[in-house]
Amino acid sequence: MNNSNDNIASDDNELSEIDVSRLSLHQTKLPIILPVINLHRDPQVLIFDLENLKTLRNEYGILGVLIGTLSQYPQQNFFLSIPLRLFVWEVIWLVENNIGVLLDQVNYRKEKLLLQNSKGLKSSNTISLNKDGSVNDTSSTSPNFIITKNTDEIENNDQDLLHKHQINIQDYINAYLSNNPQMNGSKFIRNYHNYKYFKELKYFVSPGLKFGGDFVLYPSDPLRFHSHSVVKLNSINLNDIVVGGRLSTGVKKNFVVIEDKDSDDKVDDDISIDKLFTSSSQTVFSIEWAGFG
Amino acid sequence: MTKKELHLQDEIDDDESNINKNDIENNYDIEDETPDWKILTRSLGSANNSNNTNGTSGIPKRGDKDFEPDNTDIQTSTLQESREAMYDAISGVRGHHLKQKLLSIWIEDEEDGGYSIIPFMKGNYFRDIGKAYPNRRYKNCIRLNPIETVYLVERGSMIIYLGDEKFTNYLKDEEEGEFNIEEELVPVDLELLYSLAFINERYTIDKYQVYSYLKRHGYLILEVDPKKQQPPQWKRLEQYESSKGQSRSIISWGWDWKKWIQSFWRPFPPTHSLHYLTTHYFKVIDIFKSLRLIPTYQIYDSLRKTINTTTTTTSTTLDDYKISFNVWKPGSQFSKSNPSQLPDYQIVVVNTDKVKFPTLKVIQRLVNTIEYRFPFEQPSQIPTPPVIKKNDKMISKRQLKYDQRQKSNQSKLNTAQLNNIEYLKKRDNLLKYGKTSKQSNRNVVIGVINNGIINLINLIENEFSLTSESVIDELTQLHKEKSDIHGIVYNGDK
Repeated sequence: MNNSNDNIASDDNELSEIDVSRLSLHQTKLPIILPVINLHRDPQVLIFDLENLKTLRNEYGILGVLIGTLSQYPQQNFFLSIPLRLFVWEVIWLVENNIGVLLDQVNYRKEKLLLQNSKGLKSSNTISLNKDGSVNDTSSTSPNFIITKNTDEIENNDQDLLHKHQINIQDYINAYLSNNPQMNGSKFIRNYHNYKYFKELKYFVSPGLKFGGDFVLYPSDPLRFHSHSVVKLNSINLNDIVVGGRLSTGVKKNFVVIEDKDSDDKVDDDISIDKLFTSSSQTVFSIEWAGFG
Repeated sequence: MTKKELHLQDEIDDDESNINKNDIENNYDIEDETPDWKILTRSLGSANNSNNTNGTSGIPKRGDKDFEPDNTDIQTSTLQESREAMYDAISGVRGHHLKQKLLSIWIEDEEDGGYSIIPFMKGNYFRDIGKAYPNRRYKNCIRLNPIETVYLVERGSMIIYLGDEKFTNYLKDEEEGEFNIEEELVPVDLELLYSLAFINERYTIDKYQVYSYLKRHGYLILEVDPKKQQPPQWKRLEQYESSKGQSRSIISWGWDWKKWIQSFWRPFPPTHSLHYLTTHYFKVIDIFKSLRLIPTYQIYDSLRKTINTTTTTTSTTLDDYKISFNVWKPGSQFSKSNPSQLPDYQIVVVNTDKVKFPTLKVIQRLVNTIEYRFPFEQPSQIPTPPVIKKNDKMISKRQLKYDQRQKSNQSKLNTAQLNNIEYLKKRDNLLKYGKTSKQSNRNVVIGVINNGIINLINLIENEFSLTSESVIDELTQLHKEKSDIHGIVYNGDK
């Protein structure tokens, strides 16, 4: 991380791809809004806006997990739809890199609704669909479908309203920690640094519960590529290493153990954002189950 | 306790059962992989229109994926295609035809955060969803909890409007006048609905994910009301036993007492080195019996220990494990108004970031809080389980062949042998699932969730000694000689 920063400073021609997009975005586009649902009891960031979802995936390799029912095929669990649930490290990473801002969704929307009502703005929820399912844009046909939109489509030009309900990253993390008693400040920082390490190596990182780890790493978009590795965080137990190694090899992956080099055993309950956003150096091992004989 | 992945093979949907049957055979779960969305659009294209909910066409198979990026144009363009297919599919509209219009109104509420009401219900979603909500304006009005509301709106089956003060007053008011919901209220989009619905601990996104996952598989689900509870199991067991005039404590004492006498009667207990020199055994089984030193766990033992009688427990993990949903299989004779049929699964939802794996005490307490019927509480006439029509094509060729071979093999055996097979089968089942024909399920399903990924674990309370009354009754019918030694798995001696 330190090294790559030095490179950027010394040699502008060798900017890495991700840094370029980051820089250009800073200047041209507004940050992506990351709506926080249930801030006080169970803070979750869910993306409802399709354009934001595309940007996150195409430009930043942020995958999240689709959790909504696909309304065309509502009786299956294979293809799911909006909303996209981001996991906590993705959220922190987006905020650290100034790509996204956190928003207290419920209060923001309530206030926005009051404003809309006072202006008499109301969006229509009936549309006209052709037989093949495509939307008929011509105004001649009468509407035949009633729909629920993913998100509010009335543009908001009121930046003050956004600023008013923006959530400080510290508040989000505090809410997360107070609702996750298993996590403490030091562990949180360590885990985030480990996530960032893989993210900056340009891996696509997904939650790893399905394969018995904390992360699953993909070389690129998992739509096209199989994953190579299962990552286990905070693993110091020899049993875990053997179990993880066997399991990962069983699903044609290798097992990765990662540790923060500078981490001490001190347990801190609180988090300083400065410390969270510092660079760190990692030691990483990958393990494969070897069958002799 | 046995731990076993809950196989969800009871889908009503044709597509689903096909996917899952293949998976079970290959021991591979298709839901584990990130799907290739191109398959979906191919099937979407062949479907008549987008509201074809039967999904008769597309059966997704594993897409072909690459090992790693090689920066070729062809790879980049296929990735682009896959992404476009995915974005296309998820940009589909969420709604239904105006002819089936189903409207609801979200009402904010201090206590639960809110709920929605449906003034005019229609469609067949309400076998398990919703509760009657009588009011002055609408006769057949029903009320949905936040999870049910989000589920129906998200699948496009229901449209929701935001109730305002005027509307709540209208509900209370008997005076004449009409209220045009569509005209006067604002439609709620999905984003706003999520932020309104999930604002407390009772209704979390984790719970919603488990709920909608099971609903999409076709299960029937009721939320467990934390306030409404049946009398605790230990109390009912105690009452039953005292009414029968036999206190359990005396029986267990008596059993110990008999053993105690026995150890006196024999000059040396089995642990003593001189025991086998001074005691004669004529059967192997008797040796095993005398070696049974470790106290065994019987099925209701956890109900009799003090942990369950004390209501004040300080440990927080006990509170983390609470049943949230009762789940019935799609084919069951379930009805909302008369839930006399016990649920097939009772589900707890936990997040791995928040909760550790339960300790034995927590599991025991959890099993003791499930809806359960003791054998003595069973209705005298047990309703026959509905016959689920098995589709012919559901049975694979391999299965057919296996059945035939099984039949021809069995015809060569005599009744004693058949009886023995039946006995072994039953004993195996008791060891695996701990449930006799007169007992109801004594298991809990834990929905484990981590960052949006769901796993289901089935925990069953079981006894390996096979010494409880009902178990002995059931097994002794088939094997009279083994009256109390079913737990000794030894097949060499009769």
